[in-house]
Amino acid sequence: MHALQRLAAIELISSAEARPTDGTLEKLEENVQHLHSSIALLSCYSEKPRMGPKPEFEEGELAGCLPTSLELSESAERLERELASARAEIDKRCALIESLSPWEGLNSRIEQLQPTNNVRFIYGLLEQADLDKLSFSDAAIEVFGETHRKAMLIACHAEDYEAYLRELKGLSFSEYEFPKLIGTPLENIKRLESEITDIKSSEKRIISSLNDCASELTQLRHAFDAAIIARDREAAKARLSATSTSFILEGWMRSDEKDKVFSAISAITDVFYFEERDPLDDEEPPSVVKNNKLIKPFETVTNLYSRPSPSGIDGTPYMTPFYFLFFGMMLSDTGYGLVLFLGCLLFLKFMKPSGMTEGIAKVLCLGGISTIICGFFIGTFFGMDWNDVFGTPAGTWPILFDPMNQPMPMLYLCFGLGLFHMLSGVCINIWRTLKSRDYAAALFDNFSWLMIVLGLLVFGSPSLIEGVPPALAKAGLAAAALGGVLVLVFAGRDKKNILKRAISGAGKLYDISGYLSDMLSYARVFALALSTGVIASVMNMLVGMIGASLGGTVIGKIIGFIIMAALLTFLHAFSIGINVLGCFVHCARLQYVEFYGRFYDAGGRQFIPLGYYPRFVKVK
Amino acid sequence: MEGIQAIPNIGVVFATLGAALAAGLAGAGSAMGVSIAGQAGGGVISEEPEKFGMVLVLQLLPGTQGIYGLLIAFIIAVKAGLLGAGGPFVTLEQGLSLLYAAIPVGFTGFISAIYQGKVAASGIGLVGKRGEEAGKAIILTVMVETYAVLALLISFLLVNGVQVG
Repeated sequence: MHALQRLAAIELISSAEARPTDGTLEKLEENVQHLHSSIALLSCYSEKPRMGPKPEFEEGELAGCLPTSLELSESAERLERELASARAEIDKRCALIESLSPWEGLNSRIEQLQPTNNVRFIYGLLEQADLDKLSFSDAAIEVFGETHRKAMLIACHAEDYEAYLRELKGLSFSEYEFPKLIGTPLENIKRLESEITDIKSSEKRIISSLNDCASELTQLRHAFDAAIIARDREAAKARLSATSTSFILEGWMRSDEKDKVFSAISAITDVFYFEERDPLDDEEPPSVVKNNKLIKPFETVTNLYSRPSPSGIDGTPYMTPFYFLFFGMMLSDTGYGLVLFLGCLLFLKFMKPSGMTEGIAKVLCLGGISTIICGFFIGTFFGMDWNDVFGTPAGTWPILFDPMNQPMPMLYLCFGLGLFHMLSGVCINIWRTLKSRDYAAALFDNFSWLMIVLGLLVFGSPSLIEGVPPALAKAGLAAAALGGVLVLVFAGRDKKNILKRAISGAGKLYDISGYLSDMLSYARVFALALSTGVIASVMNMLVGMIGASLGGTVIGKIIGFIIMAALLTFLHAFSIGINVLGCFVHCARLQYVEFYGRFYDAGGRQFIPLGYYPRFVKVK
Repeated sequence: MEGIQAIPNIGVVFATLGAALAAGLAGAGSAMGVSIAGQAGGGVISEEPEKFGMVLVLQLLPGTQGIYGLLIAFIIAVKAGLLGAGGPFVTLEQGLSLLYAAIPVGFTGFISAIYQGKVAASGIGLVGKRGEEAGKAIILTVMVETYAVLALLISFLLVNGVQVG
């Protein structure tokens, strides 16, 4: 099991008969819980962990720190309990002092205030205003306290007791019962106060030992990961069917990792039986995709949508160039691209993220490169016109055109690229259906659309481009019409009834509106490109106005420069953040809806092999 | 019409109104949208503070409409000469055109930001329950923004089409 976990190549399938657990798993789960709660507890006592890459460990090293850390977490939890009880004790004593404080002036000892045969005592609190209303002829009254509610002690004859009490109850009187204490109230208050000081000092001691424990927090975190690894391994064992001396392990593995698994097992033991087979029809294997280093980060983007279904194809390699291009066109500011590229590069180098964060950082890093390039063609530099930066006459830069002054060409470019993007999706689907020998689907559902869209494009071209022979336009119209007829007649080919078939064909033909609206959707490339450049230039302009208003003296210039630099940095950082977020999600949307909608089979399940899934460290 | 035209610089008044509507309406919508999402976010963060980053991204999404509105307002202001030296001057026709051009981004921005905020709020709920599905929550939220982007585009093209000077 250790070897297989290290390899992280097999996803286990639960065997039908679950093994009765012997408590080991529960014990390990408990360890995880203990460590988790003590880490949460101790985090309050230590400063935040420093930002930085996760440390790397061997699995054995990690497991080694588990026993001491478990003790540590136990003692931390005990200290926490002690702390809570100490605080409760303090609270109890404070409450007592508060209730005794009105009686500070009473000189009698509390235990001696017992009624005798003739004399009864009444004690309680009364409002100052009601004090004068009392008309007890035959009683000794003592009043204590500084506040408006006075503490009073009334000594009276036993036979008057009931009557007096009734009269008092009609006023704002509330009876008081002394706690069972020995000595005068003042003595007791003094005693309680000194006890509180004692408890407070022990509280301080507990906190300082908690602080000591907190300095071991890193070790606890590592132990937490070790506990998780051990728990996962044990949980996997519980899913095997086994006898006392042998077990059967069933799981999915990648076909190209078969040899790795085989050699890992043979390195441990030579008494085993190894069998492999392809998934059965009613089984649903997890999906794994394999891509080269450049394309791999973009799998993150695909995963945000869905894993490909096991029978479908992975769209990532086809999507990558489009994502790269559209991201650059949307952000389209060389300065921003530079910041994004360098920022992500530094983040990757120093933080060494893993998993999804790593993928997104790499995608943004590549997006930064694309942005730098696109900025030269259609963009700006930190919102500044290229011609201002280079001092060239207007119209020289950007190389292609300036979307601010020539919006229509930019819009056509976006629509053109969008059509190309969508039709590429259709082509991929043609290839896919041909491969699975579904020739009818390839011709009638996909190729026909290629004919319609391209035909209409050629038919409409004379109005945009001069010198297109009218014959070509006619040929385009003919091709589009042929495609339309194919869709109309064959789209509903699984229906027997001729009328139903025609209706379903006509319904399918209506999808042309889908192509139109999808194409318009690519206008967002233009809109986002525009918003980056314009927002950046607006910021430059505003800051420039502030700078100009600060006057022309030397000091004014210096202060103005500092303020402007700070403002520009802040504003551009904000703009980069919001624009990169927008570009990332809008670019992803173009892939999901307009591109993947044409060929992608979603609904795959992620491949989660038995392996190491630590939270705070990396395992080598 | 004659009477209105006699008022000096009446075109500038309409252009200013257009810029104000673009920035004001879209900004108000964004404020409401971000607030709706933010209220949902508070609940999730109180349970799981480590999801703050993801929640913040979702909360920010309805904020873009305000930026689109600002953008159009600024372009109108520059076009009508409201910011530069030399003083503003646009004719009545130009001023009214600029006002109408501001309507798509102002109105659509206002409505779409509020509704996007609602989708973002439910997306934040989704993140609270299943953090690994944050990407899908973002995508759902961005679907609403499509129409704000289209409105921005039309507003820009219309403003760009008004010939001044």
